[in-house]
Amino acid sequence: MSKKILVVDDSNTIRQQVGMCLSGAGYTVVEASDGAEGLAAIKSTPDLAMVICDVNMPNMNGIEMLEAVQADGSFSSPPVIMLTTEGQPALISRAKKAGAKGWIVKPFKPDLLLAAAKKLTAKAA
Amino acid sequence: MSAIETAEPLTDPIEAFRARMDEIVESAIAQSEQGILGAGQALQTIVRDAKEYIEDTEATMSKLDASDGESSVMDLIGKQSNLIQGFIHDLNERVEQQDGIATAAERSLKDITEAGETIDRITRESRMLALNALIETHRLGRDGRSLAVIADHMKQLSETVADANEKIAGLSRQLLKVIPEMAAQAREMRTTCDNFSSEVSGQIDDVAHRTDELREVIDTVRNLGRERLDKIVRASHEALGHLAFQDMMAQNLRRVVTMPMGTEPPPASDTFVSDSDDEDAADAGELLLF
Repeated sequence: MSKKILVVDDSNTIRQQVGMCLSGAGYTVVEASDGAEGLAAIKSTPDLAMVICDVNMPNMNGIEMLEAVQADGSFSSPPVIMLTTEGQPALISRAKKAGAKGWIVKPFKPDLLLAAAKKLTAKAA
Repeated sequence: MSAIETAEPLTDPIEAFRARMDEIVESAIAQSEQGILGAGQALQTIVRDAKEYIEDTEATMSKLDASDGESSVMDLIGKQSNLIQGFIHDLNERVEQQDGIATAAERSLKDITEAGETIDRITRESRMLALNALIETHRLGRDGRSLAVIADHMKQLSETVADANEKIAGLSRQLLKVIPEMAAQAREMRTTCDNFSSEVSGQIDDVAHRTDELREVIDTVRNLGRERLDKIVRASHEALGHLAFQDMMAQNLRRVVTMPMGTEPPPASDTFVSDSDDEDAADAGELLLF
């Protein structure tokens, strides 16, 4: 059975591109278009192997989503990697504190994203 | 009449300009998003079709060789070749046995003929002996009566043996015609079988050689297919990287539209990280794992 990865991004094109990249490598992709949807998906999908999450999104941003997951504590979070246009150290540090396992700055390189997915999902397994 | 002229009149012309700019930018973003989604869909179709083609080709190739662990065409050819070789081997053995039997029969017939000649000689001598005994009984008169009985028995016995020998000789003459013919046919059959065997062996070797060649072709097709698919996937990844510009462009445009009036526009760049001088900042395309 293929590993399931949640992609949280408000951009349709990024979700499509990341989804293509991951499904081409054999992963099953679940999508959410903002942090609130992402949080709901994490809670309702216990077999997630990993989450790839944007930072700047409407309703709830990616770091707020991470902090909400961390604050809940009623379920174990899969490894989360941030995929964003942002690269400021303060944001990276905040995400790290909230439990993020990685940070990729857009525009992403598919091979690099897949390498990170392989590493983090292997750890999760 | 333009869109601006039909819009609700706003008190602040700057706000009106911003609203119109926002509308135009969102429209451009939506259009570019549709274009990029279409391109992404087409790219996905290309990669999926290429994968399906390679998988179909691999499945076909697997039917030809034994890589899938099932009875393949190559296996069947090998099994058929082994069966033919086994049959030819058995046939050769039988024909060889037949040849040996025919040769032994020829030899036995020769022995029988020689034995018949010996019996014939003994019969002639017995007859001669009986004749001499009869002559002697006439010379002896009444005293030779008992000898006459023996001589008469001896003569009858010789004639019986001669008759039996004549029958054996007759049979031997018949066999003399049949057995050499049988032996010749067995030898001819052996020669035919040897020729057939070497011809079939040559063909089986040829089939084995062609089978090896076919296996090499199958491996080449498989490897080329995988290489091509790898190239297609790599190219699709490169294309995906290029398509990712739309999201960058959309975010940059939204920032420009929402920035306060009178401020300096951000530097033209792919990402927002380039305006940071911090050494700890992450660069575009960079991956940090914690």
